[in-house]
Amino acid sequence: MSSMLGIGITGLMAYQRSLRTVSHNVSNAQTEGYSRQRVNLGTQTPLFMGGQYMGTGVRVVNVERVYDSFVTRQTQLYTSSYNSAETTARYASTVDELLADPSVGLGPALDDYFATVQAVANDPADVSARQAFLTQAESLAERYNYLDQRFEEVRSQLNQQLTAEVADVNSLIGSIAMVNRNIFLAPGQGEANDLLDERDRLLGQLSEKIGITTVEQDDGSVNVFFGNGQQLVVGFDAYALTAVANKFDRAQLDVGVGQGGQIPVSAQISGGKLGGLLEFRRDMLNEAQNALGASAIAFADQMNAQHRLGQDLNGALGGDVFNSPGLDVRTETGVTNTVTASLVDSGQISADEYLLRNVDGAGNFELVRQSDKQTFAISAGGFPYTHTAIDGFQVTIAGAGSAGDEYMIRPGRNGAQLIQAQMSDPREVAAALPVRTAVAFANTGNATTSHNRVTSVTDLPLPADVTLTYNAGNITVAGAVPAVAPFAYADGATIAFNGLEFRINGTPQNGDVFTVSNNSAGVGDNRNFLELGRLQSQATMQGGSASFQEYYGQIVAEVGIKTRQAQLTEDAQRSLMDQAFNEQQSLSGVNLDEEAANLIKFQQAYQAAAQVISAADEMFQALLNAVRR
Amino acid sequence: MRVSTSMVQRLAVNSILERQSDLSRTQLQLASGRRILTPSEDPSGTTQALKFTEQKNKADQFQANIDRAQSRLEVEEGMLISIGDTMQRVRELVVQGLNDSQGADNRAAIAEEVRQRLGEIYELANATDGAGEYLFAGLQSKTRPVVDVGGGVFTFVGDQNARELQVSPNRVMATSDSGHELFFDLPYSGGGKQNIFQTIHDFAASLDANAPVGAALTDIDTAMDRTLSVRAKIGARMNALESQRTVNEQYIVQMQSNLSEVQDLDYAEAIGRLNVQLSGLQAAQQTFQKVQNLSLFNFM
Repeated sequence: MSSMLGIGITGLMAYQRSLRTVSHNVSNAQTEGYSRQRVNLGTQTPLFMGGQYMGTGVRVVNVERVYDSFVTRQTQLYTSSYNSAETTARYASTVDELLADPSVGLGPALDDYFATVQAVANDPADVSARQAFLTQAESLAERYNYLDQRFEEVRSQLNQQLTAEVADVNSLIGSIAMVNRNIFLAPGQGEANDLLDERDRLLGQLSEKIGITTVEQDDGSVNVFFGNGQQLVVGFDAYALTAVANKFDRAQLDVGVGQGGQIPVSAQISGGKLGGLLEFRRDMLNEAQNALGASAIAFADQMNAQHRLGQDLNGALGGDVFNSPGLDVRTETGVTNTVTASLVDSGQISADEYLLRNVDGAGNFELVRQSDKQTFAISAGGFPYTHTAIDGFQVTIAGAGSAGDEYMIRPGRNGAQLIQAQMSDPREVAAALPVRTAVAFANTGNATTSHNRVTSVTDLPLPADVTLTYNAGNITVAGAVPAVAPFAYADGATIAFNGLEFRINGTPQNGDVFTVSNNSAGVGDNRNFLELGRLQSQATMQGGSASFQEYYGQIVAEVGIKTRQAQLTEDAQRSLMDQAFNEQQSLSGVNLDEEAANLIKFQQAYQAAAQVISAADEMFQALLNAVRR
Repeated sequence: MRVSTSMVQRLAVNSILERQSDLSRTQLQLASGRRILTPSEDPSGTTQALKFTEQKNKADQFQANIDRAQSRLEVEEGMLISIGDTMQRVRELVVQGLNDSQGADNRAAIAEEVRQRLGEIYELANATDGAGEYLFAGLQSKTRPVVDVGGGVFTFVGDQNARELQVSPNRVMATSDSGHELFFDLPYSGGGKQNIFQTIHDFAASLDANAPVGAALTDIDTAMDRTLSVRAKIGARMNALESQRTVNEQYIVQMQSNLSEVQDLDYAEAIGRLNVQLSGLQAAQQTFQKVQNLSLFNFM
């Protein structure tokens, strides 16, 4: 009887604990990251009595946490990828919508600008048309400025989020280290199930922020790494990340480890929101902003170049309509030797960035193009030294510097921010060409002149009229400074000298004279603005393969395609993450119906065990009654 | 496969969210009439749309340029018609004056009218358009092109160039003609070249002297022929402008239709899609509600 009592009691205890676990599961059915717990029952050690093994009841073997580390690991991995893609896609679509917006995009502003160019070409003597051109030039520059400003806003938002994510990561790894410690110190054999769930939950949250790898240690703690072996948590210690200013650009925040964040690790972070932010900035934002700036620089340069070939209402050669936005050079913090970059050929300028490194401090440098890592060697003879143009720009190095000095050259980065329209007087708009041709009154032949163009103004204004005289198939040139040798006449051939071009067509007679003179009082001349208007359709960018609008269209398309890719990746990663989550839930998730059934099961078992005790009591009472006097 | 309670819920909620997001996108498309809401939905389509818009705007600009060119040419033609009529009157006067039956007094009276007509042609040659630019001065459109030096000498201080306007990507059209060609570069019956003003002036002087020169008739005919040939050139240019306008018009229509194809929404398809998505969302919501109510705890 006492043994029966004892056995009944083991039953009560065991089922009490089972019910407790069931209620724990039910209460935590909606807890994030909770793995259901299951009580494993086993028999007590049997008693060998009277040649037989007699059972002694039930015991709780363990409270098992239903858990699979592989599935959990998968979930973490896909959580990282998903969050990275989601962050990238979100930022990318901001930029995407900005560029193609019909009211604030660059396309309509370019269209409006060229419309005013045409208006001046249609009415070159009209001062109001010229004023409209200057006003529109200003609007275009402001549109560039505005787009750049929006990029800067995205950049600063990104910096803010980066700082916040780094702070979150630091707080999470601090907690993980502490949970490691608590798990180690937890009394009793077997794992502290809820602490393990807590740690998994923290690791899951950490994977949202940054891609991690985990390694389980024998003492029950988990070490966490990122990148290719950078430590975050080792044992009970957490190694914090810091958001530090980039050594070239203090306005760019990067991630660093170590004392004061001195070791930059941005390049090694992938996965999670941090990975997504860094990837977006590196692959999309920088490139888009550089490309926009490059197009601003090239636009200003080419408009100015054509404008300078013309003549304004005051009879002077054309000035600059736009300023020349500078090329951005960033010096490593602490380096004193200065390097500047200047524009040589705006048709070659691109969105690329270049790293200039001082190799030995004795005049040897190397320039590395970041997109394809192509290296250009630079040997400076004396200082200051200007190297030949690479990709449309040239660097000027002030002094020898020290070995290891580094500079980042980003030609296009500030172009859109710096471009400005600087002409305000409509009389200074150079619609005319500075020269005109004429056929002498006394000519007897029927030859005419046409296709008058100017390619350079160094020899202008003409000191005197230039006369070309035809005689017996040859043309002699008088009055040209510098002098021009005689040449053979060919009907319709282009004649070019001293920056001027024109054609003579037809059949001249001996002694016929053709003159080139300064275009004084030529206020009704629109020829320079006809040329300027043609720049809209000419392929002047990207080494001669795209017009301004085509280049801008390429930027929009690039951003669109990358955004699309990010969105597709996001969708794919989300379903992978959902699948992994479902697998994990299928194994470890709480099913309320199952728990309800267990509740009934254990309740019944408990009642039965209580009945056993009650029966044992009755038996004892019967025994007592049997020996009562 | 074993399912957990939160998994069931999450699946159901996710599918509702997805349906809602699809539905909202379709709504936005219908409201804006655009198939492409953001460039990332169709990057190549967006690029095409940008390109078509640009081409259409350029073509519209060329049409505006053609309008301007035509109005300038019409003004010039009007001037030349008046000049031609005046020259015709002068010719009649020349014939009259050459008639041997005229006496000195009559010739003097004719000479007076000839001088009047000369003044008219002189003013017409120095005519300005509505914007104050001299029509026949070439590029120097704010400088009076024909100058009466005195004593029958006239000089042309303009130049020989014409103002050209861009009417298509590769084509410019001259919208003026120089006074040099019209009035000065005329072969003279007495050898070399002489301008029409001097010719008429000299004839009037010869009438006054009662010894009219018959060669003046040839010279005036030369001038009238020149005026007519320039008018013919203007006519040809205006025809060319008209046909260029038609070509541009067709191009604009083509660009507009391409643009519409790329970026406009197919309403029939979108509305069909909207209906399907609406019923999908309703189904998801109703199943969610039905399934959520089922729990063993309800029966305990």
